[in-house]
Amino acid sequence: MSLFEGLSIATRGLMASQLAMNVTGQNITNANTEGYSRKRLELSADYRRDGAFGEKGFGVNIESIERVRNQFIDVQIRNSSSEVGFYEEVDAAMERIENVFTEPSSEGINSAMDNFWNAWYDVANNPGDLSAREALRSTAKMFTNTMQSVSGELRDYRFTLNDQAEKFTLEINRLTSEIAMLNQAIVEAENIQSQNANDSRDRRDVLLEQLSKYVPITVVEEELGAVTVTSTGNMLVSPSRSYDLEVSRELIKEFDGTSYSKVQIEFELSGDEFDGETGKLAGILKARDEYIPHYESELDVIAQTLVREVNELHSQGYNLDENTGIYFFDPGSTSATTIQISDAIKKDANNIAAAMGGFWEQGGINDLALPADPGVGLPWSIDLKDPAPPINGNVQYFDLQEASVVVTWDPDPADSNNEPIVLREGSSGDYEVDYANGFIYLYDRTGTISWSTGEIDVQFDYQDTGFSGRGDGENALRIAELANKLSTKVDSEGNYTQNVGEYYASMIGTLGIERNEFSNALETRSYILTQIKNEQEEIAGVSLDEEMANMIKFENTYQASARFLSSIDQMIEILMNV
Amino acid sequence: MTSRVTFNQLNSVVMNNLFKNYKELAKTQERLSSGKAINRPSDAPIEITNDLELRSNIDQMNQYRRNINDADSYMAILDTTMQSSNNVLQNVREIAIQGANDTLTAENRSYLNNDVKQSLYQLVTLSNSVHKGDYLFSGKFTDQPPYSLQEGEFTADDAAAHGAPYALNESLDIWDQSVTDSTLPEARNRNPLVARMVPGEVTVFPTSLEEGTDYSIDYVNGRIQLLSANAVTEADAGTLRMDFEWVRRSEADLNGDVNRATSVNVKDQINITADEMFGNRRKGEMDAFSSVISLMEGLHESVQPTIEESISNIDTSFHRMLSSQATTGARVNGLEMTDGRLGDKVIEATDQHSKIEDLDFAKAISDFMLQEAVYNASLQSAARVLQPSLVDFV
Repeated sequence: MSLFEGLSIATRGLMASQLAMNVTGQNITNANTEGYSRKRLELSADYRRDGAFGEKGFGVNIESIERVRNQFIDVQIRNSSSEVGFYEEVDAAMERIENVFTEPSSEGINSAMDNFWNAWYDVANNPGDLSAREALRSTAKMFTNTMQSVSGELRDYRFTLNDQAEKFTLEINRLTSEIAMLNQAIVEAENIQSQNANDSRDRRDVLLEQLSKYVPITVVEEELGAVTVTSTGNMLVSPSRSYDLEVSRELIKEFDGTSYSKVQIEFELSGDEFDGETGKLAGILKARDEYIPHYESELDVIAQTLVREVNELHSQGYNLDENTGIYFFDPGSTSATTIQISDAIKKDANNIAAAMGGFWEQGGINDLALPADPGVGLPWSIDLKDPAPPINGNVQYFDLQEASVVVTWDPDPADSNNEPIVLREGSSGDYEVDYANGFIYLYDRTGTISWSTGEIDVQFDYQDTGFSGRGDGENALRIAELANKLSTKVDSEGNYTQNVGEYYASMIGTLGIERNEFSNALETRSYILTQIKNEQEEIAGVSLDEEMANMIKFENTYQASARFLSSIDQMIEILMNV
Repeated sequence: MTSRVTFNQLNSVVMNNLFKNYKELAKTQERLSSGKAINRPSDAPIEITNDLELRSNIDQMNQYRRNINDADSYMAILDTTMQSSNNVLQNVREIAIQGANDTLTAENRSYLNNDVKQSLYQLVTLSNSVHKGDYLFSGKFTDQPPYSLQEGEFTADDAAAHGAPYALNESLDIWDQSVTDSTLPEARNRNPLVARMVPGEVTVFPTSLEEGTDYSIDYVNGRIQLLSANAVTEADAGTLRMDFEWVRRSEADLNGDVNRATSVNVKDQINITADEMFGNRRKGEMDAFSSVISLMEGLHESVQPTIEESISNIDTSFHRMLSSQATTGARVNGLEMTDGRLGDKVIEATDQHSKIEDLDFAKAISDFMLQEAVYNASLQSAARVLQPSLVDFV
């Protein structure tokens, strides 16, 4: 036992206190550093075996500077970050989709569609009025413009997300290569130089958390201190190097002909396509491939239904020049991004086929001489469709107007002074009429009068097709009523169950519900992430109060050790001066 | 319970809550500034569908009301026209009764005929009334006047074209050859379109022939009868000609319906067809113009029985018009009821819509005050909690 041993003990005490102060200082200055885990000095009492006294103290041993952190909570943080990242992107996308539709308002598609339907009524009320027709054309243009604008914005946003996916992969690749570099640094420091690479580990954890926001990852620490990072079973970082996510572009033709170079993402090592379920990348891809296209195709359904239904009726009608077969919408542009009114209507609003056509035409047969009497109770049949005598008009089908038939009989045509006799219709009268098929049956009921002497005249009105007058707005009325026609959403029996307005409204309802779903999910998961991070903070975070208390503690210990040193020194001095 | 609480923890909890409160405040502020409870579908995802459908409903019902408005203005003009026409016929009837009086001379009757002629012209004018440029009585052919006064010309075929020499007392049917269209069925040529010649406005050539002795004219049915050998000679020679004025009815289908949409899949007829108003000769009826002309024939030829007979014809026409007026009146009443119902429905729907979409300002403002207070409290408490630490005291 010697005094110099005491010196050694004192020295070691001073060094320990100094180091403790440094560690405290490190903690304090890094209190706000992201991802910093507080450090703690591990001390142990040093002792020697001495035969006489047993274990004799030899001062303080500096074991290590420990990094206080819970690795398992880190795993939870990363998983939660992935989820938050996913919902962040998806919620942002839904918010954007919502904003594009601007409902409820008078600028949205719902309003534009209402105005379009109602304008048809104004034309029906006054089909000859050019200003009503031009107003209809304006509302139609407004509607197609709104459809094009909304669906165009959706598509542009989809293209933006497409490009953003590529940017995300650049960021991911940057993170993975940095992690690989840190792997090297940590392995070197801990194995070759046998030091704790605490701050490198902290930095690596920060990078891993950032990476987890983008893609779901599984982290496994290897023996030498490097980590292996995989995502959905594919290698991103191995102990020796990092592997990129590779971007390739596939050229796809959209429904309306425009082309779109779609970003494909593959893992470098395995060549598999990225198909993760969480993380920002997955969120953006889901929005790009599923959510946005869903609404785009719903709008396409609406466009197609409208073009089909309106054109079907419109082409059956007549414009003011008595022409038919005109389309209101361009039949070749049936997607929401291309829907537009036809050239004919663009050129001239008088081409709007408001008239349905069909009118009663006057027909007649004169001076018909009947053949011989077939007998009592048996009819002479007169076919009004018989080409001789000629019947005028475009008779597509024969449809006589009720009570329009007048049959007269002139028993003595040579006598110009007598009036022809008007015959009576009916089963007890002189003739009967088959209105649907255009036949007249003359009967000799009593055997006393023979219709075959003299001449028969027949006058009648029959249904003719064709333009029916400037005041005909019946087709415009039919088209206006399409607003209420069930023409979408087929049920299990193949029947339509909704009109176009209802279809659109329920689509907007779904949009609202989905948006809410995602924004709630985001809120919940953000909250959970915060809670988990706080748990880690509880363990690894720097508490300034604690560090302050430690500082006082170590200061005092230093003072005490110094005092001790001073005492030993005095004792040695006494010895020296003997 | 947590064993360590660091500043960062406190900070993150505080910030989270601040953000949450601020978000609520911002949302309420958005509502207040837009005046709407729903600014986007996700604000009320269950109600938005209903909301959009209500909007469409209200727009459509307002359109139906506009249609009814148009129908009302149409039928108002129609009613005025019908009333005026009734008055004309009433007037004509009075003259007819006067004219039937045995004490009148042919000259008296000829003056009366002039009065009736003016009424006839007035009736033609009334039949051509319009609403927004569309003829009221022309069905769908709204750019074609239903009745018009026309100048006509007739030349009798000579004996060769006729097939045989004309016989004494033979009646010739008159049609305006400038109207004849060879593609039309013959029946149309003989259709009494050309009946309704205006008595007193017919000139027969050669002017040496006299009405009553050489020829007589059936104005109502459009015939000329050869009474003398002179007339027959002229006819055979092809020199018998007539210039006349007549009331022409358009060949177009005047009986189409004019409709207005007054409710979902409901259209109401608003017009009165030419047949309903004036009658149609082709159906064997005496139309209004023919009945007036039959009176004029009696007055022109001063034949009392003809005048008497014409009174019942005029009555028939008069009753026909009255019945049309009644129909229109009933329609106006019906539309008034429909409009009233629609008005009620619009109010109801607007009310419902307002409940969904419009902001309850009182509630929103009190929400805002509350949220503002909460936000202030969280700010203040944050300031006090986040500041002190042991550093201040060492």
